[in-house]
Amino acid sequence: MKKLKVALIGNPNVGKTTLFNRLCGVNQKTGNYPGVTVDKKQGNFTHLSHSIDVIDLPGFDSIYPKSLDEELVVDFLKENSGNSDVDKLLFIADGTNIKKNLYLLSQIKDLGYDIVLAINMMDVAKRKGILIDKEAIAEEFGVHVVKISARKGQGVDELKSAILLESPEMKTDKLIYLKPENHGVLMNYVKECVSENPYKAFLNITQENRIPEINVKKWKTEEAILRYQYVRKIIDKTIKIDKSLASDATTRIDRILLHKVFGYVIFMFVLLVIFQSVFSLSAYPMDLIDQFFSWLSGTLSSTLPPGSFSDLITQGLIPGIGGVIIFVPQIVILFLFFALLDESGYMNRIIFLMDRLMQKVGMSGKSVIPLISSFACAVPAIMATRTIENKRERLITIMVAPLLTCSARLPVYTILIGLLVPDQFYYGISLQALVLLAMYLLGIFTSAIAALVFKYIIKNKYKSFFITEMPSYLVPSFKNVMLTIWENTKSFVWSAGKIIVAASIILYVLATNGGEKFDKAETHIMTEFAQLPDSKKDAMVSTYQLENSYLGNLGKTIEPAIIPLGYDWKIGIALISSIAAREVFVGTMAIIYNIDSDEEMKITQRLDSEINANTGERTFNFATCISLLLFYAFSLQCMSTIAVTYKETKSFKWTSVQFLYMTILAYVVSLIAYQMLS
Amino acid sequence: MRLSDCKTKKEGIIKEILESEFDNKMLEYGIVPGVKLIVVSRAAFGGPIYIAIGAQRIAIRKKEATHIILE
Repeated sequence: MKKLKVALIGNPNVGKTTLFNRLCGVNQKTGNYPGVTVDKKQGNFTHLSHSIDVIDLPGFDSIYPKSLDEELVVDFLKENSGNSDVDKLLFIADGTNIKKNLYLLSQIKDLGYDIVLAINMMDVAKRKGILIDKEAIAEEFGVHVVKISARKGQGVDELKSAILLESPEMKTDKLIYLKPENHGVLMNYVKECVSENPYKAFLNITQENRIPEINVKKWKTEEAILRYQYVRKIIDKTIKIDKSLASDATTRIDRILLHKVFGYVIFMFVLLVIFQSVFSLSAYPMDLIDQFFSWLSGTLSSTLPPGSFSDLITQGLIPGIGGVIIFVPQIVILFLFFALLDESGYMNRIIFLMDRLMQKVGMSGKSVIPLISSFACAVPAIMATRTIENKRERLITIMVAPLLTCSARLPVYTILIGLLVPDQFYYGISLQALVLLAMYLLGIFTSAIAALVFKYIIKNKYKSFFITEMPSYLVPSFKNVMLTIWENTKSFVWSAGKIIVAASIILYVLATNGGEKFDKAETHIMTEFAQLPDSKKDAMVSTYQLENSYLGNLGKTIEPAIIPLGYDWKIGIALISSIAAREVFVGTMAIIYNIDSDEEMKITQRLDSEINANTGERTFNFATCISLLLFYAFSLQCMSTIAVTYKETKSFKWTSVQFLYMTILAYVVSLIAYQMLS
Repeated sequence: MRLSDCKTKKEGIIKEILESEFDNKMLEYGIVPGVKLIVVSRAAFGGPIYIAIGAQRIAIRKKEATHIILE
């Protein structure tokens, strides 16, 4: 069997991923390029007894890289120009808007690659009355051309066969990208440096300023103008548009969706639908998952032989895994919407509408999508910032994303708000819901302020620019939507999951081990409270154990630091265990105040009657509750977020900055609030 | 006239691209002297400008649009 290696390249939004999925199906794996955070997708398919490996490179616009993704592709192309590591390039173009694609194609062709050109979206192009003479294009560029519709699977087999064809005769290098008077300079340089390919030499000269005498900027500008003239000539010869069929629905839809007033109203409505769905549609599956995991722990603890290892599994590992899986419904729904927005083309319209507003706080229109995901979970949000080209805008987005109210904060807020405000309605509006809304607004407001501060702190190395293609509206492809959901959910479960599970196990070990007092808890309770019924004693034993466990000691150690915030060591334990994930607060509270139920209502009632040993007052008084609410709103109690920030920024400094600024902010604000209110 | 001053639904032919840090990026998007463009829409509060060049639709910031001179 013959083996071939093919790299798939093209501009963004031309259907590259769809084609890749068509070619390789499930025979694909995602890795990482060494040192950078760009996904490396590889796949394989067999055709006419040939095995073909496909590398899916990120979409890129320019041979002059302006973002991490682009840099990677350009490096790849320059490295492999003139060697045989990659047999062929499969260049994919958008048949409905081919000019820019052919411009890029002419640049890559000049690097000396053997290329198969797939002109995609031919079904849409046909409807628009666009007629493309593929033989003429093949002739002009010296490539094989296949018309396809990746979404419908048309022409894909023909494309596979074309990859196996012998490449057409290479056209002699015409230096179409350089004014004739400069040809001599370039060719001399090529001779001197033994760089065989003139265009590679041209790129080296213009990107690295190798020849000081020449005006690099002028060369680049002239290249663009000359190339567009060349491409336009080819387009005039090869592409005809039947005006009677051409109807530009996209532009007309955009007049409404991007209207100065209605555009924003529609966007707000879309946002509302997403939020509503993320929270309401996920409620039922989340309950089921919750029940399943408590059932699993219960069943296992009664079937497994008793012992500390079984306890570790039933009380440490399983609740830990459950704590991750519980978020899957929300993540799935969130990415369902994101895939729909992206596939339909509306995503780029959101970017357009929001760019100005985000600019004011040092971010870009492209920050909006990550920030929306932050309301579910900061982990996918931070991963989604990769599309932001400008480093500063991306960094600011990462820094402020965890301030938005993620769903792990909700159980904590629910309990505290339950303690804080009565379950009453005013004019049909729930008071508790109002306070919850206020917490959401507080998150948005604080993230805007924090972004502003970062805008002034972080220096801007690259000028921020914003030029983006507005793709045609399309009906999303089911397969693509499903694959997006699958990829992202898998990635969330894996990256957040391993940390939450690890942290839960560590905390479990800390909570179930301790010194002498811990070991003698049972005898202590039995002798001190001998007259109490056994059921009461059991609960007292676990409370006493937790108090004297390593975790309990930790809580007592930090007590002096948190007394000014209105907390005691018991809340201290909850704060520490929240570092695994915020919602762990609820479970810890249940153990610490020996409540035999995880139900929020019961926990609220129990906490309401708790007396603080230091002050003799109610522990969860008004000031403490406010202080705790604010602490949870601002502090970065989430190991997964810290890990993903490190993974995405590759910077210890910025990971620490994020953790410290949020923790200090949480501490100071809670301190002020408590001191003023108590 | 600068593109940034061009009203919605108005057409124009690009005369010149002023030098800037992003002029090359614009050229790569086919924003080159001689082509005809139409302003499709403008985002509120001085946000980006949405232009169409033939079948191609591009959004650019107002700041960048000041570097595009129309005939």
